[in-house]
Amino acid sequence: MDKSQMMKGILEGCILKVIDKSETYGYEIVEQLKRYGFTDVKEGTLYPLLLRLEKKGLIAATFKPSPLGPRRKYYNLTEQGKEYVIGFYEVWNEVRRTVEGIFGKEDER
Amino acid sequence: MSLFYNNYKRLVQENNDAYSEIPIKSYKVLDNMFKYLETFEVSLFELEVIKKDLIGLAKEADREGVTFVDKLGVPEKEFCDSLVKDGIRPSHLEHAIPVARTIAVVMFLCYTFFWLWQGMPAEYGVSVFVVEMGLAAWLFDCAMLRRLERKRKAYSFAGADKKKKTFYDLLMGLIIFLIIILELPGNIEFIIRGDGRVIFFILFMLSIAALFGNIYYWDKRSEEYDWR
Repeated sequence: MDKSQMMKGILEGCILKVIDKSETYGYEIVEQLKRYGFTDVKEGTLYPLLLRLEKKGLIAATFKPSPLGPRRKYYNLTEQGKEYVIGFYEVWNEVRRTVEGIFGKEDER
Repeated sequence: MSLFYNNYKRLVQENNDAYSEIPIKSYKVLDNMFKYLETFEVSLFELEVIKKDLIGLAKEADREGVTFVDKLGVPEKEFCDSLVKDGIRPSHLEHAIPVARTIAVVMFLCYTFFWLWQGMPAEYGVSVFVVEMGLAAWLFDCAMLRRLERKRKAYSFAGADKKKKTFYDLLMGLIIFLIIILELPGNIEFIIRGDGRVIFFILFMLSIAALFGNIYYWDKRSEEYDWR
């Protein structure tokens, strides 16, 4: 089962939630996503998504020295981003309940 | 504040300095990626901000003991295509303001040259030639220099058919430019007449305004990004 299409829809919301927890940068976001089970995400896949989120005004970026030394973009969530995360989680719960309902009914048959 | 230096140029210089510190393998990969990105109509300032971040990524990869390509995790072209798709587009002002600066300065310099050459007469004017030099500067800077530079870079990534088309585009551009320069009139015909010193002063102020406007624009643009 190719999960990339499903991932496209949910990865942005998950990235925003990770950023919501604390100001962070690309490498740390990738490491956190891996800890949660998103093992296929690399900095190269993440970077364009972060750029898109920045353009949408959901995150803001600042250059700071990284733990490894070089200055990297650190991201934090904007007010708009916080509202988006709340909305995303509500939609996710709705979809999850619907899918579980369908599969639950299938299992009962 | 310098007339010829602004935050965009500062960032370019900073990136060039940082660029020289990364390992040669990462340098080659990044160099190709940046050249590829510059073949698209991308925002110049935003591109430099991205370069700064990617140079940082390359330095991190070096400290971790991995290659830049491994740290990126995706093919370079795919990465660049994603960046362009997600919209690092220039604003119209990013094209217009540097060109307006070039036109204003070229017209001022042309007018000043001919006015001084003719002994700074009290009664003088802006000639057709000065206006045409301004238009030639626009054509050269906007249509040729930037497009030419983009096409030159795109040439190295293009297939055989695109290379042929690019070559003919370049040739046509050069012919048009030469025709404009060679067809410029020999005799001076004024389109605006007046006091030579007043016209000199106005053109001088317009050039200064254009130069400061250019600086102001790039410094304002830099405020959109916390790039320091």
